[in-house]
Amino acid sequence: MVGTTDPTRRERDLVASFVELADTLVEDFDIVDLLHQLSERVVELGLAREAGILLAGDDGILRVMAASTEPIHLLEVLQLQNREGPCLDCFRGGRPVRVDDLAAQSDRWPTFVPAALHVGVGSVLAVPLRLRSETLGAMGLFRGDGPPIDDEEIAVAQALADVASIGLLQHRGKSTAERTSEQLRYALESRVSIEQAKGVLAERMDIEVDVAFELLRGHARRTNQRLSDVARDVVDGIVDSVAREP
Amino acid sequence: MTSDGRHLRILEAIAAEPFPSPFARLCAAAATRTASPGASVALVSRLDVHTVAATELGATGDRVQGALGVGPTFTCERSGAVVSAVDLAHDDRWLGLAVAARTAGIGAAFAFPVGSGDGFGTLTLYRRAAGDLASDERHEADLFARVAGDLLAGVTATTGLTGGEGGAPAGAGEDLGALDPAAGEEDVALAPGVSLDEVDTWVVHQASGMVSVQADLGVDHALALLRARAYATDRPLVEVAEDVVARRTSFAAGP
Repeated sequence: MVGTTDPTRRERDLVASFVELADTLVEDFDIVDLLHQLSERVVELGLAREAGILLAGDDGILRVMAASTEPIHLLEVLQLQNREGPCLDCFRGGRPVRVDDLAAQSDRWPTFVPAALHVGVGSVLAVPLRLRSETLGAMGLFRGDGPPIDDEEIAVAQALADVASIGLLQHRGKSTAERTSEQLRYALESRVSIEQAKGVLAERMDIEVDVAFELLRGHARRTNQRLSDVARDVVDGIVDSVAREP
Repeated sequence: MTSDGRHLRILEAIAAEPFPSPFARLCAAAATRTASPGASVALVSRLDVHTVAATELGATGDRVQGALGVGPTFTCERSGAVVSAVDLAHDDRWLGLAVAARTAGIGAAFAFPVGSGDGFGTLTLYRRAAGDLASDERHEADLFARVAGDLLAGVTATTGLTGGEGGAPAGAGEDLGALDPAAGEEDVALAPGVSLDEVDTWVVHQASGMVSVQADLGVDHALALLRARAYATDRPLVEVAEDVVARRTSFAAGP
């Protein structure tokens, strides 16, 4: 193992890492903070010399969320820009990608390999940030010329990633729900305004509510406004009537 | 893990109901499992309770509250807390509700918030007799409310929940896209196959608009006028509204 210390001490470090990561799940925390912690942890535990983390946002777009050093940051960005690299493969496949000898893989990742070699990376392990069937991102663990990561270390790295993923999923669930809440509330109040506006126009212009709706919609399209905005103007008395025909 | 087991049983109960709409299934299952014949899922706006799905008694209960503009469902949505009215006939928290509930044959009501954060709706249980929910029933109601929230957020956790559409949940992105009123469309998808068109009390707000012009008032006042008329004539608000829209009734001042 890289940076070996006695087994008991290492185990204590590991447990401490898990506990600390798990703690963040209970309180309000920052995603960026969590992922920074994760990337620092894997380095401190000797699992990697440097680490980088990619995460998919709610829009599905991958972004670099953490990186130990600037060169690693650039390496992650490169993967996204050129759409190739071990972290990307890991994210797509939802499985760890292990590269013990990076130099031998230039066919596989023609842009990534030379760039990585250039900054002294000799071997890479990418583990997915995942929960059940969903892959949220990928963490790349980069080493220099020394021995590549071994099976036991891979297991530890994945376990750390898994704990972090639980936090990510909770956070995502919450923000999706909050956004839904806002949007639903807005949609509902808009619909109420639209119905009210139908009545206002129907009375003012002596027409049926269905016809009033068509007029509202036509007016919104012609003036390039949202239907709900036109409706609110009508209800608030800002708009008195609406032309019957363009 | 006990709670996980119960959650799963709730989902199975919902999936077993025969209705096409997931919310209708949820109401039916909730009514059975909490021994509350009235169950409704509603979105609550500033002015009204908008029933998305309900059992018959649930729809009645929602209309009673909508007609008054006050009630446990309103209070629940505003406060974000569970509101229990174990004996409506002797509860003076909501003006006019005690009498209206008794007339409608409703003795107790329990409103649970649906959705997290801001909250955007309620699951309301209605019973004919006064009396509290058992702690078991309360716990299940809580879970039903949570599932309703998940449904609204576009997440379905089990096959069959949405009526046999292969169990594939609509991507959250798709549903939320459909919620954007900027699309200019009136129809808003709440979950696969369920839209705001399912709410059947829009006529009340159309009538508010008409009355606001007839009586030269703001729409909120117009709605209050309609509610007062319904209360005074002992008729459902929706019926009074329908009369207005059909021009059988007018609130215009004059001879």
